[in-house]
Amino acid sequence: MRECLIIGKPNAGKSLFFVNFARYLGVTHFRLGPEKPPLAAARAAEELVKPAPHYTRRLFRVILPAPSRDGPITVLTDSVGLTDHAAAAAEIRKAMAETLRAFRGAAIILHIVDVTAAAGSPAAPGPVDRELAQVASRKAGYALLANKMDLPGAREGLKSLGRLQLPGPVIAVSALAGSGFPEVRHFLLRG
Amino acid sequence: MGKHWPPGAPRLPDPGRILESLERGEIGPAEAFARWRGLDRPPAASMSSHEPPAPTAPDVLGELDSLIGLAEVKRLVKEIRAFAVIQARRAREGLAAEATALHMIFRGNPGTGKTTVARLLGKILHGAGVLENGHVVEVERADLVGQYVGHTAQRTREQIRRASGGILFIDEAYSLARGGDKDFGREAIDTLVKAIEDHKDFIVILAGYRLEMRAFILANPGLRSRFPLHLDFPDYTGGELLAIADLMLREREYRLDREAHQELAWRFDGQRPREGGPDNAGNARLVRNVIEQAMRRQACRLLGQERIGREDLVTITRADLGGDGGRCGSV
Repeated sequence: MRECLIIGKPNAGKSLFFVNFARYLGVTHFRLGPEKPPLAAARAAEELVKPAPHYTRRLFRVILPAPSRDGPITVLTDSVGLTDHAAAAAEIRKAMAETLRAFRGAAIILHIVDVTAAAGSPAAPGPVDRELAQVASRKAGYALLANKMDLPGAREGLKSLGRLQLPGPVIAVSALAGSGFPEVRHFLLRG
Repeated sequence: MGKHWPPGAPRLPDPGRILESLERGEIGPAEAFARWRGLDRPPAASMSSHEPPAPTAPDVLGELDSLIGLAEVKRLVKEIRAFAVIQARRAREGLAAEATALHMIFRGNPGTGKTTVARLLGKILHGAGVLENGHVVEVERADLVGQYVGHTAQRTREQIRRASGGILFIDEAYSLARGGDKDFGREAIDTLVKAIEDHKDFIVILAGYRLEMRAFILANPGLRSRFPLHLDFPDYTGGELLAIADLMLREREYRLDREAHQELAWRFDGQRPREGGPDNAGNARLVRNVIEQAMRRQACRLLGQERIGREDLVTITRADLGGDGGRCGSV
């Protein structure tokens, strides 16, 4: 068994990627809590994805269908958005520490950045992305997902991301439209 | 003053403390990762293919690597082994060899892998030629502390004699200081310290909860200088607990179906005991209890079935993990 952790800044698109990518891999229902009923993907997306940053305050895990009967079982984990600096709310700080704990244990890291965020805005790739990438790139499986490729300005954003020279392979994706999912799947199968 | 490990190197920050600082808001996530960078460095170069041939059976190191999680512990164990091998080699070449003490402190909650690592370490150091036998003698306060004056020293010496050529693993070692100066635990500590000075043919590992062990070592300066190696065993993450469940079931020729996996993912999420608490929530023992119960429930469920196929025999379903499914009832 291996854990694949989706990690990145608030509003980078982690939860939407979590739901849509899991659906792409064949997950039909999501159980969003130990006592909660299974939800269809569309309902799960409604529950998990909100425009407000830090909507996700805990880790969500979904078991991916194994590629073969004896193939390794992969757990896909959605995490709490990481800011550059310390968060004001204790609850969010605790959830961030939980995310870092999961980061230590996870075999595969999918690091998501929003390539359309204006430079200097809180959502734009920043120090936390640089530091995270440095540590994560030492793991066997690490990929940087350049998200929101469906939005205008994404191509320019992708070029600026290249200038940051973050280590590891970059996969351009749209969590909303599903572009780049085959490449991420290929990356998971290979890792 | 004893020698520090590794010789001359600065003490590395403790990963648990980085997360505590993050949680308290003293540092942000970016700084937490930056501090981590020093910790998660890859294993020392001496462990790569340049490693000199050593008598350690590689399968023991493989066994260590196959343990779930414990990245920092694995790295330090490999460093200790590499250092021991090289010192022996230097001695053979007539070079000055550091007689670094290999006595250790293992800090962590119950069920986080301390005993397992101690047993592997015994085999590894035996293979590296440091320990003659590499066996592990596991003891606790009751095995060392006696009933009357002189009794404790005698009992402690007996355990040390048994550990000769191997490792004396003292679990919940802080309890030796429980009763204050008049307690016989003090006598056990003194006997141990003397034995460490007199006999170099065994290694002592003092194990226990992180905070209790820290306080215990601070209160016993004689131990601090003689135990240069400190290994932290963090609680397992939800994902690691799930991986442990998977492994334990595979060893028993069972497997979880996807729904059961998802159920356990929730069950293990955020399962972490409070420091020093009696809870064994976030550790491997919890996992063992859960899967052994599931195996019994699966058996009950199958006995109620008309036909039982091979696939049924190996599969644990969500119903077997609790709730009302699969109970044998009042038979």
